[in-house]
Amino acid sequence: MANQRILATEEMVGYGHATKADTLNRHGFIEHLEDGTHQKAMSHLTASRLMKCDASKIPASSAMAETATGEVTNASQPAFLVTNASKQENMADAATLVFGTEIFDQGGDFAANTFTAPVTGRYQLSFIAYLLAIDSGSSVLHIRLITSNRSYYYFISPAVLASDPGYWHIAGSILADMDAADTAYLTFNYTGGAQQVDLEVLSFFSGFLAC
Amino acid sequence: MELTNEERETLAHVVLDPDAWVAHALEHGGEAAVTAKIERWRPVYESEKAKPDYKNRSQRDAEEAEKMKPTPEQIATAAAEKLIRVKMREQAIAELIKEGKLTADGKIPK
Repeated sequence: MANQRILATEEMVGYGHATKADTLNRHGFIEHLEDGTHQKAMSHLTASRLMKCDASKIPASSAMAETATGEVTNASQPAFLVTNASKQENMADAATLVFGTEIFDQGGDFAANTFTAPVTGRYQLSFIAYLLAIDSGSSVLHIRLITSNRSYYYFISPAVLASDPGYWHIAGSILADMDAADTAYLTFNYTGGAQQVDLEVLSFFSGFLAC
Repeated sequence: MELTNEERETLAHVVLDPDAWVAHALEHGGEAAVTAKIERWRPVYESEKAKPDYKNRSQRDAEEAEKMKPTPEQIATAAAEKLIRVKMREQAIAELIKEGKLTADGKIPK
């Protein structure tokens, strides 16, 4: 079959036409004029590519972009990466980690150390907490990622250490279910020992809408 | 936006502070976000609340926090172990200084 397009003369467009073999499986969407004649929109499914589109029919204002080599970006997808502008010293138990510098905040959903989900979905959340002066007298220490739906804990037991370590980092990552307007933020928590731990600069908190 | 007791309890099943969450949600997503969340979690809450040991999010988190706390025995053991480690460290430093492998202030000799 040489011609793989449905043509207006083939009477395949609109309601009430008889089904014709070997054309229906090769078409996705067809744009129609008011008088019933169809316009070229998408056609030609083959084994080697999903579909061929008439470029003039692709919305020019879409936030999604595809490069010639197939990479796809979406400038509207919620995504953020923040860091701390200065050291957060002698953190109290349950102190909220402070991230005052936005490296990027696509969608503007991060404010006051808290990410707010703009839509319901699964969000990949990650952090690196760069800690100084952990007290080996603390029996338990953890960073807690608190989302509206649940909390995630990242523990260490400093009491097993022979002395106070100068540097330590706790990193964590989770694919979290969040509803629209839900929040996510981080806290520092400890039991026992002195209030002496600092959050050093070069700590980060990031996230994006995965699906 | 006024919540019924049932709506507040549904939210309390999943969030720590329903009123705070609603106030935040009204700023960021409007009443639609509040309604959507309540509708999403209502079936879960309905199936859970009849259980004899039912706890809402705040109670669950408090229970988790309590479990994380070390027992007095664990604290005492950890303190004893730390004393031992400190003593061993002091003894090791003293011996290394005596052997000339460390200076008097505990550094590697130049």
